Order: sequence, then structure tokens, then C-alpha cells
Amino acid sequence: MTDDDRMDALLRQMAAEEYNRPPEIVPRELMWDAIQQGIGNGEPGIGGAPATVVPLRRRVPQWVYFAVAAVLLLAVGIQVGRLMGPSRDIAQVPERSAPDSLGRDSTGAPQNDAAPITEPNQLRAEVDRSDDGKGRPKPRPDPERFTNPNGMDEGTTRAYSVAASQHLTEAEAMLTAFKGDLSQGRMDAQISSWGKDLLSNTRLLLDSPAARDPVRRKLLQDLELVLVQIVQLSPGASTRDRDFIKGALTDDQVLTRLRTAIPLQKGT
Amino acid sequence: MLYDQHVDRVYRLAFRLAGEDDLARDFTQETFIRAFQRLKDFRSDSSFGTWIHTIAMSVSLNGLRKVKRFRTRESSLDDALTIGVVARRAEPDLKERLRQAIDALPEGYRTVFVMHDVEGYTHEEIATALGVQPGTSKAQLFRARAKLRAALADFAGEWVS
Repeated sequence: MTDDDRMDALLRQMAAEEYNRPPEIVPRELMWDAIQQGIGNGEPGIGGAPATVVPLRRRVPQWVYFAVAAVLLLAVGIQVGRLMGPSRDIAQVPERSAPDSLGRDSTGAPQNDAAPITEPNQLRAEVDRSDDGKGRPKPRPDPERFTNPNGMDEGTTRAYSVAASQHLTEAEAMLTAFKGDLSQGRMDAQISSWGKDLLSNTRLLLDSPAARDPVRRKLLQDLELVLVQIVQLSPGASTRDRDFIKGALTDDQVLTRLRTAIPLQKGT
Repeated sequence: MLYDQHVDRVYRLAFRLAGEDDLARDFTQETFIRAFQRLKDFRSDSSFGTWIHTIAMSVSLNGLRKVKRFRTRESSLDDALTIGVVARRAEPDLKERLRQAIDALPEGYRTVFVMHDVEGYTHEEIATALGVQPGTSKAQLFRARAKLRAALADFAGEWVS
């Protein structure tokens, strides 16, 4: 036996006796309770049906995130376009009737074809009003058909509504996952980054027409508050900090309100 | 029950790698939760013990990497706060030196050393759990021992005598 072999044997023996020596009694029951909680109180025993609990994070398919992001981007784009575009709408341009054979309009005022058209909207209105090739004025779209009293078309309103619903669905999933982590006294790093994404989207929605509905606005504000606390929660946060968030979730009934606000989907 | 059969060994290994009861419990729990969730993926061509140790190693090593990153951030902050304070420490004894030397091993070496020399796993078991060849396990153990001998060379005289 060489010196190296002897030293290896001694090292092995000493390491086995001293290095991170586990306790004699393994806390089996304690861990089993946590495991049961972790798999949703299912009995995963031998031969039994395998537990099919999937982490909440994975329940939301990847495409949902892309869809939410796309819808939000679209909604923001539309809103920016509306804010930066011309203030007058085509529908607001006073309609002028086709000139009669004497070149006068319905008010009797002579039509001045040579009059300069200065307003861009007016130009557009003129283009729209041009005849259909048979001498008849082209029919104009009914503005009421496309605009609601808030000045937004139905498509945009619906896009915001869908974006808000999807966002609330995701927030509900995240908060449920977070609550599960909270009860086990741990904090997954993914939850924190998920919370950050949700917080940004919540703020976007709060600044968008989706927050015009007072109930939804209040919900988004409460959600924002909870998300801020979650995002700021460090992995080594004290029990008091965690209880504080738990309290915010419970007192404001954020989760219950989220679930109420999420429309039922097919198959649920 | 599967849990009762394997929990002790999984917990012991997790404790050896983590060095803390809290972490060892977390890793063990996570291992069994994952295993039960994926029972349908378990193919009986390997034993349940081998399979669960593969999960345990994945969970423990990933968990330790996260903890290490977190503690590195914390310790760098602590260092920044204690600049200028001269620490006077007693010369660590042999056990402490051994612990430090094992902790200082590269992750792969340390894992194989702990599994083989401390917990008594075979190279085949280690290879399956870590997803490497048994030869790789042997090579890493050889290098781990060499590094430990080098780190504790100043104690060699009194040991072998």
C-alpha cells in the first residue's frame, strides 16, 4: 500500500465521519407532509395512479404569452396611432350633397370646384365622396356602426378586453402558484420574473382604455400593488414580509376577484 | 412504499452535498414531488432507486448552484461592509481543513467524491445518476483525491505515520 493509498483511505474515512454528516434521524414525516402538499394532496403511492399535477407555471402554454404580448402591442400601437393621428375624424366632416345641374348644393350655395381643399381630412372626405363611376355619390359608412360613445371602434375595444382577460387569467395562475410557494415557505425565482412581466403589463393596461371600466380599474390597481410586493420580495424574506403579502391577497380578495373577472372559457 | 424505501438515502446524499438540513429537506421533497409527478415517464428498465437518484442529483446540483449564486452576492456585500477589519482566525484544524478542501473541489469532482467515497455509491450508480460514463466517474474521483491530497499535504506526514 502506497502512501497515497493510505492517505486516500484516511481521507475517505474522515470525510465519511465528518463531512456534512447527516442527522441520525431522517425527518421523514415532515418531508412527506410537504411532498403531499406539493403534489396537491394526491396519494402518489406504489401502483396508484400517477399524480398528474403539473406546476401552474406550465399550465399556461407558451403561445398565450406571445398572444398577450402581441395583443398588448397591437392595442398600444393603435392607441399611439390614435393619439398622434389627425384629431378630426372622417365622420365629423360635414357631409355635402352632390351638386345639382346648376352647380349648387342642397343649401343653394354655389359649388366652387376651384376652392382649395386645405384640410387633409377634407381631402379624404372628398375622395370618399367621389362618385362610383355612374355619377352617383359613393355611399358613406355609418359612423355609429364603427364607433362607440367613447370614440373607440368596436374592434379596438374588443382587443383591449381580450388582452385584459388574458392578462387577468395569467395573473390568477401566477398568484395561485405564488400562494402555493408561500404556504411552503419558499420563493421560486421564476415567480419573481413572472411577476415582473405581469407588473409591466398591468401598468400598461392601467394606462390603456381597458382600465376605463371602474371595476376592472380597481382590480388592476390592487393587482399592481400585490405584484409590486411580490417582485420586491427577496428569496430570504422574513415570514413577516410573506404574511404581509398574504394579507394583501386575502384582505382585498384579489384572487377571488380575479377569478370572478375572468370569463368562462370553453371546456372549463 | 417507494417513499419509505428511498427517502433515507436520498436525504443523506442531499445533506452531504448541501450541508444543511433545510436545503437537504427541500431537495429531497422536490425530488419526490418530481418523481411522483413523472411516474408515468418511469420505465422499468432501470430500478426506481436509480431513477430517483438521477432526479435527486439534478435537483440538488441545480439547487446548490442557485444557492451559491445567491450567497456569492450576499458575501460580496458582506465583504464590502467589512473592508478594513482584520480577521484573526485560529489555524483551522484538520477536520475543518478537510471540509474546506472538499468544498473547494470543482462541482463534478466533489459530487463524485461525496457519492463514492463518502456515501458508498458505485461508479455505475454515479454514472447513471449524473448521466456520464462510469469511466468519467472514475477519472473524476481520481482527480478529486489527488486534489485533496495536495490540499492537505502538510498533514500527510502525521497521517501516514
